[in-house]
Amino acid sequence: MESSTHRGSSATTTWLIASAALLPGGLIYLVLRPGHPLFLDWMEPPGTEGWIGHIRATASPFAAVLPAPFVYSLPQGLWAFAYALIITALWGGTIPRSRWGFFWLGSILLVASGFEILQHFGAIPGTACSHDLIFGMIGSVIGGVWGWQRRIPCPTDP
Amino acid sequence: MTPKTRSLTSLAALLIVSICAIASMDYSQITSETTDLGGGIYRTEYSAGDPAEVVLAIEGTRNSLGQPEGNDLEIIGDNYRVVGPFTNGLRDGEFVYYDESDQPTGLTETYSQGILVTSSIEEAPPVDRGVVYQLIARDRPWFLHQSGFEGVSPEDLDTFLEELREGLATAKPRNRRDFALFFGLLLSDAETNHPEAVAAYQSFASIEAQNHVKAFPLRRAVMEFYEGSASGLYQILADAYPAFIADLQAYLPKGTSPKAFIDAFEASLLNQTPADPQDPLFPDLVDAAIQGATVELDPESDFRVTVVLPYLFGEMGAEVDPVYQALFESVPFTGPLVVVGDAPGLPVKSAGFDNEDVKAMSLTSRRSAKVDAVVEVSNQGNLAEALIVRGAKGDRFFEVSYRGPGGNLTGALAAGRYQTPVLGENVAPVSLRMEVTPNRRLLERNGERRIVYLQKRINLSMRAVSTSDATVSDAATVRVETKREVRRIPPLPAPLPLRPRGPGN
Repeated sequence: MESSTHRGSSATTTWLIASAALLPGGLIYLVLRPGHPLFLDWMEPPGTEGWIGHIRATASPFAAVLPAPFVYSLPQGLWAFAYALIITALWGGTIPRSRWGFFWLGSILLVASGFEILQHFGAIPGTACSHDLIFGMIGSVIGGVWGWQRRIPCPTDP
Repeated sequence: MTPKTRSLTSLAALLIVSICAIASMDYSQITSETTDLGGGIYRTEYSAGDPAEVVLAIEGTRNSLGQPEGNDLEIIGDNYRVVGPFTNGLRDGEFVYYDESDQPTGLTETYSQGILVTSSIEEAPPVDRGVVYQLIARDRPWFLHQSGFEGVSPEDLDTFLEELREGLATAKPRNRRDFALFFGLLLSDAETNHPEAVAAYQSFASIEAQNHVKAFPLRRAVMEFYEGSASGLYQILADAYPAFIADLQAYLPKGTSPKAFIDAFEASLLNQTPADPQDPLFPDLVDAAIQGATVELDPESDFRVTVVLPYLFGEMGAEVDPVYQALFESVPFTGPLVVVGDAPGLPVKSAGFDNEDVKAMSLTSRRSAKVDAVVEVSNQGNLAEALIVRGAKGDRFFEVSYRGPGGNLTGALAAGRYQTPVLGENVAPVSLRMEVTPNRRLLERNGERRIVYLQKRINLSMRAVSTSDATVSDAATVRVETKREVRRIPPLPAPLPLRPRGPGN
């Protein structure tokens, strides 16, 4: 029973860490990054136009002094970290018995690099950037290592 | 946690991350503003961000749909790059390159029907020249022909051309991509060592490119540069522009193959209409067409093109009109071709000799029956010669025999000694019949009530080799397979009861 409580707590904490990583990434996109991300449209329902623009205008002086990788590439690293953390925590305990475990762990690299590769070949909008790729990989590795330490044991484990 | 729960949770995570990635793409609100610059040229600026900043600038004409035609200049970091594909596959009009601060770099290009006509590359700022030169040298090496008309000492030019030859002999570019890379890199290097020679070379360079056809197993492109002779150039200049066009038409092959390059050149030249020979840009158009065709040529084609760019050649004098001359001729080559089918008169011409369908076929033998195939050997090259043909031998499961114009050719073909008559472009192919007989003794198991036919297969190749160059050959394959099958032998009818013989029988 004690073990079960510990596992539940660990899983919740893992989710919280991943969510916490996504939050600053989203904020960077929302506030600091030039351009007009799609989710700005989602966050501006009718009647609320302008408030995000006001925040962005206020933050623009800060964005100008921040290093470019912080604004442009860090969000990629953060969500790659979050994904790697969750997937490794979920499936790390099943290795090497579960083929699905390998599949999902493999998806970490695919997700971290896939969007950049697709952008490189023009399959999806945006500009492929090596910095994004590097940040994504670093985020995946850190998330993967941390997730491995927090991996949820498989029920069949001794 | 059950596997199902893990999977669902993972899918949820994947969904969230994908939404994050997609939502963060800033493509939805890029604004564009188009300005009419006059003369049919429009400049479209694509802006994004808040405050808005120009991320892309395109200048050029519009197509019939009102879409901009031109190469996108994507401003990234300290440089720009040209990105494609082009709106309609072509480029038209004048394109102005802008730097990161949206100021013109001084580099402009004029395209006509997708072909580079002029460029102000020489006017580009020196600091930018390195990058731009590398870019152009790599992506559009033909452009380098058009710059630089300075004089040069014959010794320097000779040295430079010799280095070109040596470099080419070493690099052995195998296709147009190799060729473009080699040419661009070599000129880039040579610019440092022989700047005057490069400039002169670019003004009257002569290019000979040879490309062997696909039918060759060698499939190697050999391309050479050499300078045109003064007397030849003078003779060329004796012809006027209309004569040039007429000569060009005369060189176009009539139904001969392969002609991909010629067709490409002709098409690109025709696209220049209405080209006025008196137009000062006409030579550039012709040159652009030649160079465009050169880089767009089908690497599988076979051709030789000699492009002579004689103007400003020292002994011609400055008053001579600049004119380019293109000479086309076929490279003498042997093109052995072996095709297989199930009947004489194989559809070589209609299917094309590079059609994979006629390069291999499969035959199935039922119940150890003999099967046969027709093999046709021809020479698709323009150099008439006999071919040596070798046919595969059988093995202990299959006996192979060949019949041809001289009767049974099994021994000669199996030994690789059979020589065809002289074959050429308009000579009918030699037709050989391959007969394959499965060995019943080894491939049948006879029981009391059934016969089992065993499954075996064999690949039999036929290869024709040029008598002048043993490296030039072609082959086709016939695959024969016996099917496993069980044939039941119906029981014999019961014998009639014997009737007792009576006396008197």
